[in-house]
Amino acid sequence: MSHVDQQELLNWLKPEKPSEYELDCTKKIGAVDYVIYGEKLKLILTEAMNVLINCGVSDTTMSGDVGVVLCTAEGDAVSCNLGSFMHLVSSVLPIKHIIRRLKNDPSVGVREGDFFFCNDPLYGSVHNSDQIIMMPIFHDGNLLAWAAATAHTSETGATEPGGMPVRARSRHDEGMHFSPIRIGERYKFRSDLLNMMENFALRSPRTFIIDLRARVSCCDRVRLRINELGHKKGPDFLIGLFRLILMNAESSARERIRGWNDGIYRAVVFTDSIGLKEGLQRVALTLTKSEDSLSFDFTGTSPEHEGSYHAFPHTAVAHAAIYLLGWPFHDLPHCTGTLAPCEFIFPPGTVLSPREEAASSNSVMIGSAIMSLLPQCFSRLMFDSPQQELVSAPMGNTGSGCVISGLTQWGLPVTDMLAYPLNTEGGGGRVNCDGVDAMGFPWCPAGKAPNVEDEENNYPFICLFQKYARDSCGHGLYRGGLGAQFAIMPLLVDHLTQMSHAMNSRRHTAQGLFGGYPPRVIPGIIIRNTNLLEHWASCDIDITDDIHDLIIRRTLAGEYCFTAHFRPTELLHKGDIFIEFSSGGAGYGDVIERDPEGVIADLCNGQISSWVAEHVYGIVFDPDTLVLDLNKSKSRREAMRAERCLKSLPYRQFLESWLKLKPPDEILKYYGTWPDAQPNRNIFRF
Amino acid sequence: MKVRITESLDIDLVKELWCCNRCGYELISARMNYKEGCLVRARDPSDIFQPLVKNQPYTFAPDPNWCRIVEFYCPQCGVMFENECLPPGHPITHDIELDLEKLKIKHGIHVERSKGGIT
Repeated sequence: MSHVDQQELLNWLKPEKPSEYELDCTKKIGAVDYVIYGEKLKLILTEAMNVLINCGVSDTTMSGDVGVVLCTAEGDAVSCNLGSFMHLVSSVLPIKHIIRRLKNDPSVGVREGDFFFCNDPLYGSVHNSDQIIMMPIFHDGNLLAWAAATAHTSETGATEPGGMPVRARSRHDEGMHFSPIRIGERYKFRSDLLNMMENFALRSPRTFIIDLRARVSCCDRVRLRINELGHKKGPDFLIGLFRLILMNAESSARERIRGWNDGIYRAVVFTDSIGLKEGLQRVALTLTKSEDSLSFDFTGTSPEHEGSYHAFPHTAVAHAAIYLLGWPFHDLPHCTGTLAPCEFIFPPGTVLSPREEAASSNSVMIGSAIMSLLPQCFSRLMFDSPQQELVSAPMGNTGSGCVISGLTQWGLPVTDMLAYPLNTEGGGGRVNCDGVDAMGFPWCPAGKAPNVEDEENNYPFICLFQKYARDSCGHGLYRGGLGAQFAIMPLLVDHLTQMSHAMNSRRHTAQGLFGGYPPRVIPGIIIRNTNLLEHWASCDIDITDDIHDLIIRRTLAGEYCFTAHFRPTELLHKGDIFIEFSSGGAGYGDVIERDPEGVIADLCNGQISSWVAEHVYGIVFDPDTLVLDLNKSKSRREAMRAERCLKSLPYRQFLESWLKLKPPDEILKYYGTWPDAQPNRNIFRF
Repeated sequence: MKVRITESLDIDLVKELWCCNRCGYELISARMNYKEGCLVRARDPSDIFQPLVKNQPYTFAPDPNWCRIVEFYCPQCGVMFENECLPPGHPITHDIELDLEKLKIKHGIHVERSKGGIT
């Protein structure tokens, strides 16, 4: 077995033990130099990040779904500029594989001028679309550090375009998987390997090759700057600085954890798709906080299945890192040391710990469950702490990824995932304010939604509208941020294909917090054979600019198709309108405690409908002027409170009837045993 | 002495009780799941999410076969402490199980006890 055992990969996420030499080097770092050169490392990586984004061409790379990481000679991450905090985890593991398995192998080795590639989740990648370049940095012939650059490139030669095939049943359907492999020597690509890799990506060779070169350019910029720093300050200084950053990060994280209340915090979320099919799955977390450490136990999570919505344990940790480094540890150094106080437990055979042949190209889909679980547990953990201001309901966490594929209007083959729906999900309602509307990409909050003009220039479609989606948020005392709506139609070509990897059309994975509601669910919508082009030809442009109005009033002729949010590859013809929604964020607190004026403001701004204002928030207003009637609103809310008490039951009495219920068997196929989600089927992959 | 644990839930450290932060109602022992002291109702998701499409399996409202919104209220003032979006019949989550002894130490209760300051 050449790949690494899943538990061993988890062990590699811990910082390496410091050598005596390293500890001696730390003594040479003064407090002022520590701050100045710690910041210098960040500036170097910021410069390199700009190289990566400006040189790359895929939509996700240009939007910032990338990461640049600086690692020690032993592979521990010491500084980064991320995009997605997942890449702090995913960069470390293939480097440690090279160090442990290839560096001393005389048939491979590690030399100055080398660069390596990896995109195989069995070796540390998040999924095979997240492709990593790793470059060793030498000083006077000695290995001093590593640079790693990761970017999501949407083509791997899988059974469907886009690198994240929802129809994948095993890794053999997912196309290119490269274990860590040297693809460049003496600072040049090996053209034989480059040709082979390009052939995996024939649906979009230009994107693949340019993104690949962008990663190498990024790593080389880090190498150049670290070499300059090494010559200025000496290698001992850098070795000491690196180790000190790791040690300080761990001690700072432990100090912060110590300030939280000891106890056990539990949360459970459910997903509604495995990629291939719809089906209910459970992901459970028991978080135990004791003294200065955290234990994340995912026992109770549903068993693995035949689809592609799996994550390997290190990928699950990478998703936990999105929250940990983005929220409770947002102001600590972002490095391997920061996560050292965290232990992760994954029983084998779950959707977070499947067998090696499992498809995992859509690992980010099941990973969204982790992104929804952690805010639940940590908000309960941090409410009575100095970090209370970080308490928040989960973001939208839907990742409405749609992949288009075909020939562009310029005659070039292209496959790419459109970044606008990804980068416009709503933020969660917070302890003291609403979530941010169209906040960004929960997997990569530093990313940005692309400009529509760039999209229309690069791809063969016209964008009909992209704007906030009314009522898409979870409601609450502080509502979640709104998601967005997005509609495109093929233009200048006869057809193209689209595929959507998503979920949350039957139920939403993200849950509200402290009485707030989850966000709205999202159907898949295509309007086939519309006459929009005829309307435009007759200068009738006043059709609609809002999908809610369009599907209710049907002002445009066509076949309105409603499906699950995930959709295998299908053709779009000229005149077809493809609709996508990003998810709103989850709500915080009880809806009937929301400021009535805030509800009216949302109504006036078109952020919520009058139905929501009346039925959910209990607000009374003049339907013509939208002027609030405060007295009637207070009375209405008092009636709602009374109704709650009238229609509810004491807990024990409620359980007597509740526990007799069960979902229909057809949606429990992938769940495991009911209700404890233990394995109950054999899974065959071939 | 009360410590606020969530948006609308306190723990009275002396009485060791979960309490409503809004009206002060004493729910249940702080060593138990606070939900056991609540009034509980399971709601159809379409009470909260307006279906925008008729006669379709996908309407913008969650499917009641897949989930219900289980709401936990204060028996006295009706404030909603929490809700869970659960598949019908799924067990209720015991979401907060604090180490009460350490919580008391953190808030100085043991010190005051030893001085006879707690009555």
